[in-house]
Amino acid sequence: MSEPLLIVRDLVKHFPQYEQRILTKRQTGSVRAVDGVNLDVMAGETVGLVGESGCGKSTTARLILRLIEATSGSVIFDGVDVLNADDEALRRLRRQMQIVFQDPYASLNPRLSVREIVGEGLRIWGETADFDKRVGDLLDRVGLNRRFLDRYPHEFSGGQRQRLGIARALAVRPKLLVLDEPVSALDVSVQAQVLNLLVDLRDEFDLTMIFIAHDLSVVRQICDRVAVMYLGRIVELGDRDGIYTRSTHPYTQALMSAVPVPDPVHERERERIPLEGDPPSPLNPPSGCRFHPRCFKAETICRTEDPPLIERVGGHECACHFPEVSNVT
Amino acid sequence: MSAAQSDGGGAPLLRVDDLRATYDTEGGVVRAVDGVSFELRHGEVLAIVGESGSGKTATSLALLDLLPKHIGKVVGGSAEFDGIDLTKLSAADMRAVRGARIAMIFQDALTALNPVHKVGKQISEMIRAHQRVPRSQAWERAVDLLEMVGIPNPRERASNYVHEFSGGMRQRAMIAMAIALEPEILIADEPTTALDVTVQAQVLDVLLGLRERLGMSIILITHDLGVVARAADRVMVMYGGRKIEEQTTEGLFANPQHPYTKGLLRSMPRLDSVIGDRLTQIPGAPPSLVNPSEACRFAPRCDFARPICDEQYPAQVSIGSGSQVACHAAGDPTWETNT
Ligand SMILES: Nc1ncnc2c1ncn2[C@@H]1O[C@H](COP(=O)(O)OP(=O)(O)OP(=O)(O)O)[C@@H](O)[C@H]1O
Ligand SMILES: Nc1ncnc2c1ncn2[C@@H]1O[C@H](COP(=O)(O)OP(=O)(O)OP(=O)(O)O)[C@@H](O)[C@H]1O
Ligand code: SF4
Ligand SMILES: [Mg+2]
Ligand SMILES: [Mg+2]
Repeated sequence: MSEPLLIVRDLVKHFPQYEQRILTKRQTGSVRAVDGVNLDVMAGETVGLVGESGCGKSTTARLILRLIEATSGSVIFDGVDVLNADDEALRRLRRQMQIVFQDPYASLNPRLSVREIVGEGLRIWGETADFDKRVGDLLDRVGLNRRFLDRYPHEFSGGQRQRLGIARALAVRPKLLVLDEPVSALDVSVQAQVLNLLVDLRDEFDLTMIFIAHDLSVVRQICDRVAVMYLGRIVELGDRDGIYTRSTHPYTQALMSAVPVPDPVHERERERIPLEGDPPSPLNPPSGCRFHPRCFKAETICRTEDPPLIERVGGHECACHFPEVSNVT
Repeated sequence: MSAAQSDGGGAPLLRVDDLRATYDTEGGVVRAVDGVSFELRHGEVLAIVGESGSGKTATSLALLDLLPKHIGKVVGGSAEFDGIDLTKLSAADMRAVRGARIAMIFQDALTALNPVHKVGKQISEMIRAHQRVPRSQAWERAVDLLEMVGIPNPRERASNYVHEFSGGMRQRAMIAMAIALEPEILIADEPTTALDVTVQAQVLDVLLGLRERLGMSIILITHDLGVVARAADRVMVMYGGRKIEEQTTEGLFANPQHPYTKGLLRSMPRLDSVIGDRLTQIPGAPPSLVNPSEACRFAPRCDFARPICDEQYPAQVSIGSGSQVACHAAGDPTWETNT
């Protein structure tokens, strides 16, 4: 087998928390946003990153692209050490790795027109031939009207802005596309359009994708493999069907059972695996298995020993002392 | 039917009639809301779904006089709330209603929250703007609210700034702010888009709990049909600035009438269904809302369109038990609209 396109090892990001008094500033602890993530992504593959709000998905994405500096760990992209790359190497990497940001409002410069936003990458790289046509084609592809070239971001609805972000990222034909909740603001028909588009582009340009989403049914449509994150770590990792039909981590199982199904009768009667206790805090993660305070299976060993992410049952990797295959949907 | 049902009869809490709102742009006047009517009853959850850009956010901004200054304006219709027409309120009177009696959760969390104040401070100042309470008590209330919406370590986190929150945490901070004053109507514009399913379930429980406890009415704008199925009593579907269908939640899922609604339901990826290679999508692009024609706005994309659809906008017809649809094919047994 060939080398993975992206190799992430022991990636860690801690954000210090301060207490601000009038004259002094004292560090009170740190948010362990990403706390030892390991992940290999093969060329052409689409990996889904799912997990509770605040578990570190966006931070992981920003670390991989080095939009923020890591506390420790390594990221190797196409043989290049991203975290130690110099400015010139980083500039080249930026073209090959593009991101679509989670917040479609904050990530588009309000003073730039659609032409300037979507065409920004082309201009940076001096590819100005047929400029309007190329930008117009990109708008077409994401289902926006090409007459919008001279409009500004505030004139668009939430979903329309998210598509502008996708068009902008695609303009420079990256190898790796990181999509942070790319369809969460879209209605389902446009969502289907964008997902189909991503599948087409992936095939056409051999795109490798990291797809962050909280909507498990969307992830299922598009990803080859799925990584489930909990409190800064990956707790289960496997191929799509494995994760969906034979999940083994109690957290994954709770997550699956919470997915709303668009059928009012079925939906209101479904059994859910409740997540007990308080939501976790990355300020002081629990001892042992980080999931133990909310786990319906936890035993003494879970409080003291941190289960490593290794292959157990069900044919995929899982970080749990008591993995059991279950299909809860 | 779900537990807390609206009282059925009685006057509606909010009656929106033929509401029209526009945005002035260089390209022309965008008729973002083009004659929308609906009612909201006490303790009811009304979902608004529809194509991206169909005017859902514009409808709610119009109700609360929050359309962007100079660009957006209400150009017609009325919105009667507790005997007053919201579209005719003075700025001062509107300020007293907004936040306290009708609150809104904005789709756009980041711009609705202030980057230079601590999250807890924003919530407590909002409380103090409407209620006479000491600063420390308002702060405690803010911490409680953050806890209610599932922010871990709420006491520490209340001292964070917005940029230190994840996407889903920002959204929850805004929800906390919107429910702080226990409004009679909550307009929630995509309140759970940034939330994973477990937190989403928790937030919906909080909102539905408030409905139960206070009889709060909720306008729930969402594209997540799973959320609609779980939480809404009735659903209104928008397309191209207009309401094209309205039904009870059960009715809509069991028996959608408008070809757009049918296409929407077919586009849905579902966890409990078999995976096909491609999702069904509705081909074509949404209509421009600058000088829209008198045709049915869905006609260019509709598989069942006939000549009349290009000539005239279909009237809204009642299809029993408060359900309505705007489609020429509705009620014509010879006009098949199923694929
Ligand atoms: N700049 C920052 N300063 C301090 N803390 C931060 C910062 N950015 C993120 N965090 C914290 O790191 C943790 C992980 O945040 P992250 O944005 O990665 O979550 P996420 O998994 O993307 O969540 P969501 O699904 O809600 O977007 C959160 O507790 C968040 O508050
Ligand atoms: N500030 C603005 N200036 C000009 N046009 C605008 C502005 N805001 C929205 N529009 C336009 O008004 C129409 C309705 O937008 P609105 O934000 O209400 O859509 P929406 O139904 O909420 O969509 P989404 O689901 O994507 O949030 C869209 O065609 C949009 O392009
Ligand atoms: S290791 Fe224990 S606490 Fe952790 S998920 Fe497995 S059973 Fe639950
Ligand atoms: Mg995020
Ligand atoms: Mg909107």
